[in-house]
Amino acid sequence: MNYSHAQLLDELAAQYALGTLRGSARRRFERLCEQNPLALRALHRWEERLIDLASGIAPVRPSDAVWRGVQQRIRAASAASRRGQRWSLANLAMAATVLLAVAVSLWIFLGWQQHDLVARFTDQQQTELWRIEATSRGDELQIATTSAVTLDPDHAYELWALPESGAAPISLGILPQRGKATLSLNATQRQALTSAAKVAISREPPSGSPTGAPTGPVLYVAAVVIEA
Amino acid sequence: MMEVTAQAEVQGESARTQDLSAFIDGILLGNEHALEELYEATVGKVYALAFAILRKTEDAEDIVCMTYAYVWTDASRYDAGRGSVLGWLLMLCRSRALDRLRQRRMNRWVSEPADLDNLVTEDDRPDDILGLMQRHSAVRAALGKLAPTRRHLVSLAFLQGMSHQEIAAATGLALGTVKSHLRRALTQLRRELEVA
Repeated sequence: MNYSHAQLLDELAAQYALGTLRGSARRRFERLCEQNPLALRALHRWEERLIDLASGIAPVRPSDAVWRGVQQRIRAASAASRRGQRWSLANLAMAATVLLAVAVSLWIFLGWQQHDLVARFTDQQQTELWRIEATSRGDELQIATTSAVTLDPDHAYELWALPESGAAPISLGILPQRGKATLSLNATQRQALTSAAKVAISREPPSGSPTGAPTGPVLYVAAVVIEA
Repeated sequence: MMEVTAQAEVQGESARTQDLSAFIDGILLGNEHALEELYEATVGKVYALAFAILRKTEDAEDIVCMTYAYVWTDASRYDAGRGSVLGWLLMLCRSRALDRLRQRRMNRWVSEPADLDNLVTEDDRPDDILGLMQRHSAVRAALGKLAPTRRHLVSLAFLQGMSHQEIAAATGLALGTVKSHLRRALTQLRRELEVA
């Protein structure tokens, strides 16, 4: 099939977006979109038109029970996430007890700085932008920046801990735009990071948020992972 | 036909014009109030789409809950470069509602495998898509210019998630005719919406 033909691409994109393209033809078109920007652009155009179609539908207000249903679901999801985190911490603690003697020996012998908490920020294409590790003492963050980070001399990228309780985000500092850096954490920041399931990056003025809360758009969010 | 309240009309207008991306930022920061505000600004549209596809209140409400719960846990998947927040919500809702519709048909088929002819019942036949559209909207005007047969085929594909073959079976039209009608309908819609 000659995919360089704009009309053909447009028709396939329309059928894909509408859902009438099925089976192997649908998978072929997905692969094509990964390689051919014209196909991807045609698909985006059709998706926008279908969104126009969907958003043209006259609104209807559902019963109040629906919002209560949403609340139940998101709280159940948060509780499950907390349970998972507690389970992970319990296992980690058990493993840590067993291995404590060995670890301490290695620590002293090799002078290693062990890293426990890790967060990886990636863009939409899953390209890594920043890798953030907390030392086992929890008083420092080691930041590694990749060249995929967009340099923005007019703004700062500020890192935030997002407490799972839903409390206000706590700033952990300004991230470097190139190379590596170390951020020192005070007691409040250490506590916030320990209780956070996620961290986020917002765009701020060059010297950081003037208010102590994120003022610019939130650009990235990453899960905090415990690496044994 | 669904009843459209004045309040809901106002709400739909607000969802189209309001910048909803600030709510996504709030959700990313774990702010439940931001989710509630996004819900208030958009649920009329999201529910109307779910109901148009499923035509059962209980199913439509469940899909709406699923959609906003997904937004809460996966807001970082929203890509502003791909379109508006409302568009993202509507596409999330449509794909979940179509999955539910297919599941419903499959359950029906499992319980009554011999009854293939009645796989699509009156319950999940869509209203005329034109009747669902907001009055005086560009989309309604564009759809109104389509020939009724073509508009019906767009309804079957958009609100029922039917493939070309399924549409041919449901309407009795030849497969080639379905393909060509749909192609022309979509092209005409594109033209009309681009000049609107």
